[in-house]
Amino acid sequence: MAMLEISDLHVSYGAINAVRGVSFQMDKGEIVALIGSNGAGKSTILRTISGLEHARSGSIKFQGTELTKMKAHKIVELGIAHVPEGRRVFPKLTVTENLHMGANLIKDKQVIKDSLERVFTIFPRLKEREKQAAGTLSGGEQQMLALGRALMTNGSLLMLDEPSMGLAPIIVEDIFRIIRQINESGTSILLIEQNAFLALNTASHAYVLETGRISMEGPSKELLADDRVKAAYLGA
Amino acid sequence: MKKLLKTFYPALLVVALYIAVTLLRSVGILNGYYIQVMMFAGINIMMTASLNLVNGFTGQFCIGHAGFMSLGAYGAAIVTTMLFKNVPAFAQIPVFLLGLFVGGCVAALIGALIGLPSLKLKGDYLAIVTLAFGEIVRAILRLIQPIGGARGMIGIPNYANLAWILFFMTLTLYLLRNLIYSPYGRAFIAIRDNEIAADAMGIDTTRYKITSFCIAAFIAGVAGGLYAHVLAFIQPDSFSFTKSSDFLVYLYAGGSGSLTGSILGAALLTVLPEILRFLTDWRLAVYAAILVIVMLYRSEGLCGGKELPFMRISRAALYEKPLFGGRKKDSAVSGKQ
Repeated sequence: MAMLEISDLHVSYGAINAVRGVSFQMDKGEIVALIGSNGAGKSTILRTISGLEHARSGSIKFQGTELTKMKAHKIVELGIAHVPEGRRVFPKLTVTENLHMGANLIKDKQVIKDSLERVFTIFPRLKEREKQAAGTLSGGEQQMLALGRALMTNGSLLMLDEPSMGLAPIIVEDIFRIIRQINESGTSILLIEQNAFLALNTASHAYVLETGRISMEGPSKELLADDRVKAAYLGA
Repeated sequence: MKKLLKTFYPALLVVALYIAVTLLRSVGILNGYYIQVMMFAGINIMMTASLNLVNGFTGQFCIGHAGFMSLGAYGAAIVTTMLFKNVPAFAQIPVFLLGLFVGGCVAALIGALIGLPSLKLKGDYLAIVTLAFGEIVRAILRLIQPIGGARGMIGIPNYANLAWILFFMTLTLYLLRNLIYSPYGRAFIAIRDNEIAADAMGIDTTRYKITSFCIAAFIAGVAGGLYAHVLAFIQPDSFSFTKSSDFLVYLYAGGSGSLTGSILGAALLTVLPEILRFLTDWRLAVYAAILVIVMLYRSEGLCGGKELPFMRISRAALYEKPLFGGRKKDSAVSGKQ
């Protein structure tokens, strides 16, 4: 059974239909990418999965549980962690406090301590800035913090919304190396990315969205070689 | 011993203040007028600090805080005026406390009732709802004849004195400080800083917003009860929007997101108009000018989000505690993985 199964999902903002009949699925341990231009509905899909938006119709099943009627905080409890677009750290809280917010549903002190250690091993930079207010970090560090905070939930599915946005290319490379590393340790990843080349090189499988519909799908390698994808998204 | 001292020295400061005031009064330097100004300052500190919890720490915008104050004032006054005549002197303290408690509960309950639908909304909607709420409470109180209607309620026992007010003020500040530096407080701040991220971290934002709102309403209710028992007379029009805006001024002039700021803002701005009385008609103009200057040069308020040491708890110690330890066991996570 697929880990995440979305069928015929429709989401609208008032009269505007942002997502019109999207269906896709992903398996455990995969990195799946959703690519497409601005306004294609990528972020809306992630926001609907994590309960921040409500679906008009269709279903989202995560490990067999229907998510469309659930509240956002309940969905986190099921093991879906969402790194929203634009990082969204808590600027007035310190780095450690931000990370603790990610673990706020976990009771076991030892588990929290272990996750904290794991995050600090993955992101040594965060360890250095432990006591600093998150608002004073650089853009790349804030993205690392947002990633680390999502890891603190100990979820089995990590959803990333534009992790490369507004970051210098060298930092982007760093972030994507870490994303692969997180995936290798067993977390499944659903990735949204405007940088299609980067996304296709990271993901095993990808879906191309156009105005709320999936226009193409397939293994990333095939999409990378596809002429239409090349022309529209890879600038070749 | 050292730890005890550290915990209680702010309270000891308040006790010292009280003793000093009592001494100064007995030698005739301070008269009843000064004492009353101090009592209002104490009540205003409670109001401002509780408003700070909602506006400054949870990032909501409540502009009808006087509405909760009036509910508490009437709730407490009704209890004490009904019961005081019928109980012996030694039972007056419990009746007084019961009155304050009832006042607080009424305010918190109504706070929950209006908070449930409106806190799900974002941004300005809450401001509009709370503004309307304050006015509706006032309009309804004006219509209820048994408690005096628009003429107001008289014959409330003049029971609250400076000691009671300082006691409740200190209690309020301790409670709010400990709350803000608890995991609960961190959730409030997270909601203020970024509600979407807080949601995505599994914080039940609506629940925390309502919690913060109800606690603030309860404290405002108790402060209202004290107010009623200082003046021995209350009328619906004392709790108009002007009163709510006073607390907003105290809050933002002192610095929202800082309890020290609430203490400073409320205390200074309660005393200032009294000090300026010698200016007669120019008093309010000068008061306004001072506010404008404060906001021009310190737009974050006097304290700008910072706290004095005794209003702060080391956050390092908090990491030792599990977060949200009191919440229900969640089997969903462990069961499904």
